[in-house]
Amino acid sequence: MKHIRQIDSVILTPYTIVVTDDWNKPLEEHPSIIEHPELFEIADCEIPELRQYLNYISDGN
Amino acid sequence: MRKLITILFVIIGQVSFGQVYQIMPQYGYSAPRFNTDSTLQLPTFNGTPTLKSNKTNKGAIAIDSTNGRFYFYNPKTSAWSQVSGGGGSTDTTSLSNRIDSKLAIVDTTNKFVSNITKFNDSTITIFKGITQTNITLSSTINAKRLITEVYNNTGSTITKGSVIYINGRHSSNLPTIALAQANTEVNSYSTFALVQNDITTSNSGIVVQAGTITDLNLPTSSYTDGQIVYLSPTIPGGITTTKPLAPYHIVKIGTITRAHPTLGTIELKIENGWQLDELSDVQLATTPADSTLLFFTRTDSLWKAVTPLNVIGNRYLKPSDSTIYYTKYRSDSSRTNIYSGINTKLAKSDTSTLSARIDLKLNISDTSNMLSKYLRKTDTATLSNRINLKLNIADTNTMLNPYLRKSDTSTLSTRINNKLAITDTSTLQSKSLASYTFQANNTTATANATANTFKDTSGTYTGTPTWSGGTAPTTLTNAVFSYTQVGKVVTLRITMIYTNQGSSNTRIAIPLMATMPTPIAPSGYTSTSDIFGFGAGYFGNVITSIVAGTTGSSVCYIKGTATGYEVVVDRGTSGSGKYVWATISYFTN
Repeated sequence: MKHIRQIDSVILTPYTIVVTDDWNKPLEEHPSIIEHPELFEIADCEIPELRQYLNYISDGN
Repeated sequence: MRKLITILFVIIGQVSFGQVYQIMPQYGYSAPRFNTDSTLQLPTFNGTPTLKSNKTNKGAIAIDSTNGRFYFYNPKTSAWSQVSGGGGSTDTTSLSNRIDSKLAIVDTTNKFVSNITKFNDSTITIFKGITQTNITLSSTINAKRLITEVYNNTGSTITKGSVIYINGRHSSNLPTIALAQANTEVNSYSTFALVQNDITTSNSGIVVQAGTITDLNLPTSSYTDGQIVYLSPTIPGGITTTKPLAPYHIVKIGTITRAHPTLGTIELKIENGWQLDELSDVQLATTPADSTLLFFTRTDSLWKAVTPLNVIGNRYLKPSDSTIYYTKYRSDSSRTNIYSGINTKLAKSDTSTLSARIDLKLNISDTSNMLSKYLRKTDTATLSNRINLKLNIADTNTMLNPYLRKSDTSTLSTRINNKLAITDTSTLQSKSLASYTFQANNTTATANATANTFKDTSGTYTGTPTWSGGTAPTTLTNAVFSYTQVGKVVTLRITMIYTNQGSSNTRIAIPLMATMPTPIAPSGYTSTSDIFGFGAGYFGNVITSIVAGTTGSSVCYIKGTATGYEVVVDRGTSGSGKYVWATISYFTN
């Protein structure tokens, strides 16, 4: 499933997935991708069992 | 007259010579008178003759010239028969040859034994014609039995199988025999053989000394194979399987090798028993003196019969040694002297009775009291009564009641409960409680405890937390939980340690694991997202020194979610999540 992940969590557990349940736009337009593409990226892979979630808070908030 | 007779002879002679040979008519020739001169010529045939005439009521003779036989015709039997003897053909063959011919023997010279002579003790010579052959008898021929020809002059028939001994000689130089019997030495000691077949009186016969004797009457009802048979002490000439004992004489006859009523067989090996006086180292008179002993003497290394007195000699006391001894001991009916002698021998001057001496030894003057005192022999009371007496217990029932409660027939369990004043015996089960329970009285009154939940556990937190903020911390190295439930109150603590801190974090929501007790909402809080309880929580990048206000106030609470329940820690101001603490109490069912 396509999702946004915190880049460093790919190698540093737990795998961190940005919560996008309420995001109705393309993931590419998600604030985390827009504001911190160096920290987040869109991935389309199987989500590992050891994971955590992040409710991304925009810098502007 | 003379002339007349001469003329008659002339006429007869002329008539006779005047016969002319004619072809034989069917009925043959019929000569009214039969005249012959020096010979009588007869018809010859090849083989058995035949009558030319059909007249068969007259005799006839003829010659078989081919085979040289003389035949005559018997009118009674109407048959031709060869005339044997002097009337037939002459067989000039010698009787010897004719016998040979009959026996179909060609070489008679060397066929038959003409003479047999003894060449030496072990060789015989056989003559056949001019041939002589020496036959050496083998020395290895195994004899199956040893026999002797004997003569029966007993006046009676001695039957087969009878046991005999030789008692004399007959004029024919054969030994005479008599029936053996193991009743006396004379009848048994020279037992010789068994009779092979019945020997009638005044006749000779064969007896078997050793080896096999067969065809005896040894029925299986009385005999078995392998039995030893002995000369019978009661039946003259008989045998018995019972070993004769003194005063009879034992003579072993042999061994039965086949018990059979008609084909009985015995392997004979007659062994006459020895008398004591027949032993080479025993020297006894023919009739030893009465009451003698067998005594061995080294003088000549012989056993001899001696009287007891001679055996005793001068070594031991005997009545004849001295009238003093005899008078003193043997005639001492009261044995006074014997007692004295014994006392002297034992060096005992105390002649009191053994009983008295025992009493003296035990220092007991009144032996009856001793029995009463120690053995209570006179006390016939039962052992039970005597025990009661010893324990000074008059009322044994009372004794039983207070101690054994013999009259109390209730169960031991009930009696123990009574003794422990326990009415609810289930309390005794408190040692065995249900899992994760403790016993407590959760009522307003005194009551028995009931099971309540008690659980204290811990483990690794494996839930999926949700951070809020810029970035989530990474590299989670420690995530544990522990909780204790007492009754319905659950006190939960969850801690986490990350290596890399997050940024701008304002919240962490930690879902309860499925194994954790389920919270219940306080009365009136019906929404699943309502907060059920509060606690203390914190997250930040330091844990050693937390200064209120600098890291922002934190609040910790538990609330419901769409999928379950979670513990939430909020910060008033954002921070960097690295260390997470959450301690909260909530109610559960």
